[in-house]
Amino acid sequence: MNDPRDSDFHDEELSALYRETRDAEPPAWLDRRVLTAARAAVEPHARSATPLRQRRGARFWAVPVALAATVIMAVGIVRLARETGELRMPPEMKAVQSLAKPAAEQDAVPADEAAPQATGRALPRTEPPAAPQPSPPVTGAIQTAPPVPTIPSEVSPVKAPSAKREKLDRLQATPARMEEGEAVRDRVVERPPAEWLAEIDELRRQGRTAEAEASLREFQRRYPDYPLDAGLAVPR
Amino acid sequence: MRTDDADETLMLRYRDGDTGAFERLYARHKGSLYRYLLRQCGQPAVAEELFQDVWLKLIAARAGYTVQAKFTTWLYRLAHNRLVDHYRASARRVPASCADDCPEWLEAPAPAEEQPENREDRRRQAERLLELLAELPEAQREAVLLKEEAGLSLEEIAQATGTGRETVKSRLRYALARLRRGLGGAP
Repeated sequence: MNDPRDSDFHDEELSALYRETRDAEPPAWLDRRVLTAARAAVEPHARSATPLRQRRGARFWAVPVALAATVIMAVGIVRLARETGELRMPPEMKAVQSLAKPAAEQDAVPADEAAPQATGRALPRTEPPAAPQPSPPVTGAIQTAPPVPTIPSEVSPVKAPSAKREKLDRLQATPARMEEGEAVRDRVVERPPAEWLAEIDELRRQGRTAEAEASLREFQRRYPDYPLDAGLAVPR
Repeated sequence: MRTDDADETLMLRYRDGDTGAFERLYARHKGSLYRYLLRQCGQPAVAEELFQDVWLKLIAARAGYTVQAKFTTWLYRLAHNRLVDHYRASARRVPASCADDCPEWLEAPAPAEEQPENREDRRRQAERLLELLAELPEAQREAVLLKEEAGLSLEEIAQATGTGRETVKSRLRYALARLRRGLGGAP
């Protein structure tokens, strides 16, 4: 065990005497503790060998699967919204959204509040007709909206589309008056730009192109700097 | 010792998950290691703690184990380092003899009251040996213990304790001389 040169540093008598003192041993509880630790260090490794790979695999696929699920869900929601028409915005809302801030401020007055003021003179003529057949999603969305008759419109902004629909219905009930050129000017004076543009859009949808163009020309004459949204599909 | 029964082989087998190999290793070395620690620190409770720590450290190092040295050298290297940590943690200075082997210690007389009167009683001699061993400078005692308990050669003791071979030789020489003298023999 020791190399020969070590013999100078080895005393056999002392070694023999020392061996007689070698009775001290670690206590049994310490043996158990160490052996338990040794087994515990190995057994989890053996048990978790396969699950560890599976966990790694699961972690590897977790992100792609989550992304795919998100995309599928988003596409499904968009398709569903398109089919039910909830994604399409009512024309009047489109017009409001597309206009600049000053127009939005003008439109800040709730529809139900503005209605009585306009009703006396030009409301029946100036309100655009109800959404025609080519835009069923709009009507579908409105029809599916729950009626809230007991809540005042001033308190509930949800009711604003319903009020506008009432106006549209009233306008649809009096389409003949819309053909008059003076009527166009009247409602130009009375209506804010947003509603005016919505009306133009609605006229165009109804196929009343000449009237729509006349109204648009009047609008541009009155608001030459007003930005027009291409999405409105106003004939130019 | 057969190759498949060698310490290093057993450790490799334990690394690969064979707990039975560890049990054999442990049974082979536990007594020597425990006594090495007990003689060095002098307190069974502390020795038990250190003993446990050394084995736990060995277990923790299992996964990265490769045969780069004799297993016993590695084991006692761990034990030596743990002892040094213990010295530092317990605010004991690291034994001066680790850095300075003083020849004058050889001349220092053993306490008269500790000289055994009856040398016929072998057991008493053995007890005396332990007492003398406890009186040795720690580095010298460590060298003796590594030689007697672990069976390490000078080179291996040097590796385990992080010192040079000549230093180990010197420590052993002084230690044996003092033990002989303490036991009443020729130095």
